[in-house]
Amino acid sequence: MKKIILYRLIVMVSMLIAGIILLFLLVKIVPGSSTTKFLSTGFNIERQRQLEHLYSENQPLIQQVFSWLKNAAVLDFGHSLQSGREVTSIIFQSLKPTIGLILLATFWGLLIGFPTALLSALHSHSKTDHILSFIMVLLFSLPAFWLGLFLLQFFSLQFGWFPSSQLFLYRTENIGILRQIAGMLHHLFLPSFSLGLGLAAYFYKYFKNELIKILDSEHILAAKAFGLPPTKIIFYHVIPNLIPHFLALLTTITPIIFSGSVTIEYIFAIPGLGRTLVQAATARDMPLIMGGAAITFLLVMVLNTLLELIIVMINPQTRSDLPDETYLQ
Amino acid sequence: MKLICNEIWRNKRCRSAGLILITILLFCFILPGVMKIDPTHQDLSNTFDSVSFRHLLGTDNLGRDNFVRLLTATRQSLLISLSASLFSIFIGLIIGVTSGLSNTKTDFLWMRFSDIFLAFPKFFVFILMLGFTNFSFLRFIFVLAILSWMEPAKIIRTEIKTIKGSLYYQAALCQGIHPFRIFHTILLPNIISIVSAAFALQTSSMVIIESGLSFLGLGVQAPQISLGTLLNQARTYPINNYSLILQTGFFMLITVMAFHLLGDGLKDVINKARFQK
Repeated sequence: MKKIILYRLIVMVSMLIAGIILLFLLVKIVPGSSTTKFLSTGFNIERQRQLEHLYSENQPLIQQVFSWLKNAAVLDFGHSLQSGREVTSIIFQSLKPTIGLILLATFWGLLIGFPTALLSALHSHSKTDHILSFIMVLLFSLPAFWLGLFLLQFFSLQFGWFPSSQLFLYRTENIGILRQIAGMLHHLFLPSFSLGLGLAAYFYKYFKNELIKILDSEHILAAKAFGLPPTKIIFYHVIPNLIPHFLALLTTITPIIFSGSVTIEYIFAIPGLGRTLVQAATARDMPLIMGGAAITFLLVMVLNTLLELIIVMINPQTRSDLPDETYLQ
Repeated sequence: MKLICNEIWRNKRCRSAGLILITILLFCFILPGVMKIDPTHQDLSNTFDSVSFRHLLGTDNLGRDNFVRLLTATRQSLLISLSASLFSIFIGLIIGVTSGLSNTKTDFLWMRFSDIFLAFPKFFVFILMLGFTNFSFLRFIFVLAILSWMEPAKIIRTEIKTIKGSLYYQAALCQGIHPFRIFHTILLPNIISIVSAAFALQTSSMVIIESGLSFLGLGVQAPQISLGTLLNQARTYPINNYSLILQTGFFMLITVMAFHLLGDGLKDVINKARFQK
C-alpha cells in the first residue's frame, strides 16, 4: 500500500510538472509574442518592457520555461494587469462559488442520475427503460449553457421563482447564518440544476451499464436465493459495489465540470473562476488566465490522485491488477 | 461492403440518426441557396416578427430572417465541428497506433501524456489560446482538435492492443511483412469501424464545445454566425422574447443527438458483429 501511494505521488508530481510546461508551450504555439499579444492598445511601451521582463520574453525558450516553472512551484503567477492584485489570491477567492456550484451540481446529478439508472437497470428493455433512456439522450445532447438560458428565461424572468444574478447580495445584509445559507442555495439552485441535468445524463449512462453488470453477478443471485428483501440487496450489495466505479467516473468528469461551469457562471453572473477568466480574456489580462488555468489543472490533478488512492484503498481488486504495477519492480 | 451497409441500416438508432443527419445536411447546405434570403439582410420595420410565410420562424431584433440564420449557423457549426473532429481523430489515430504498438515504457509515457491533456480544464485552455488573437477558421479548428484527441487515442490504443495479441498479427509479423503494409492491410481494416463510431461521438461533443466557445465570444466572430453566437444574441433580447432561444436549442439538440445516436448505433453494430464471430 505504501509503495502504491509513493508511486502515485511520484507520477502525480511528474505529471504536474509536465502539464505546467505543456500549458506554457500551448500558449506559445499561438502566433505572436506573448507580450504584444496580451497588450491592448491602451498600454504603452514601458508596460510592454515590464511584461517582457516579467515573462522573460527576451531570453531563450528553455529559460522562459524554467522561470515559469519556478514561479508556478510557489504558486506565484504575478499580479493581475487589471487590478494589480496578486493572481493567486484572486483565483482562490473566486474558486469558492465555483466549488459550491460544482458540488451542488454533482449532488443534483447523483440525485437524478442514480435512481433513474437503477430503475432502468432493474427493468431493462421495458417501457420505462426506453422512455428514461430517451429522456437522458435528450439531456445529454443539450449543452448546459442552453439549459441555463432556458431555465433562466422561464423560472427567473417569467415566474420570478429564483433570482437571476447577484449571488453575494445577501452578504451586505445583516442576517443570520442560516438565512445566508438558504439565500445562497436559493441563488445557486438554477445554475447548479442546469449543470446537474447534463451530469445526470452522464451518470445515468455510466451507472446503467455498471448496474446491469452488478445485478447479473452471482453474489446478487445468491442474495436473492437467500430471500433478502430487494431494498436490502440494493443498499448492502449493489451500492457498495458501485462506489468504486462512481469514484473512477468522478476522476474523468472533474475537468469537464470545471469547463461546464464557465458558461453557467457567465450566464448567471456568478463571481466564480470561469467568469473571472472570461472577463480577464476581454481585458487581455494574461497573468490571471495563465494562473487560473494552472491552478485549476493543479487542483484537478491532486483531486484525481486522491480519488485514485481512495479507489485502491476500498477496492483491493484494483491493487493486484494495477496496470502500472510492473514499473514498481 | 453491402453487408455492412445492410447491418447499419437494420440498426434502429443508426437508421433514425442517418435519416436525421441527411435531412439536416440537405437543409443546411441547399435551402439557404434556394430560398435566396440573405442571412444578414436587415429589415428594421419588421423586428421580432412572428411566424409567417415570408419568415418561417419569424425575425430577430434587426429584422433578419431567423430560419435562414439558423440554417447558416448550423452549417457553420457543422463545418467547424466536423473538420475539428476529423483532425482530432487523425491525431488520436497516430498517437493511439504508436502507443499501442510500442513497448510498455513508451506506451506508459504516451498514456500519461494524454492523461495530462485530459486533466486540463478545457475551457480555460481554450480561453488562453483563443482569447487574445483574431479569429481564424483554421486556428480555431486546430485549437479544438489539439485539446480533444485523447478519447479516440485511448479507444484506438486498446483496440490495437487486442489485435496485437491475435494470431493473424503474429503470423504477419513472422512473415516479415513491412510494418507499413501491416498497418494498412491488418490494423486499419480492423479499427476503421471503431474509429468511425468515435468520429460520430466526437463530432457530437464538438458541436457543444464549439457553440459554447462561440457563446462566450471566443469562437466565430460577428459577420459569420454559429449556433453559439445566435444564443448569445438571443440572451440579450428583452424579456419574453424566448423564441430564438428555443429555436436554437432545437437545432442544436437535433444535430448533437443525431451524431450521438449514430455513434451509439455504430457501437452496437460493431459489438453485435463481434458476438456473432
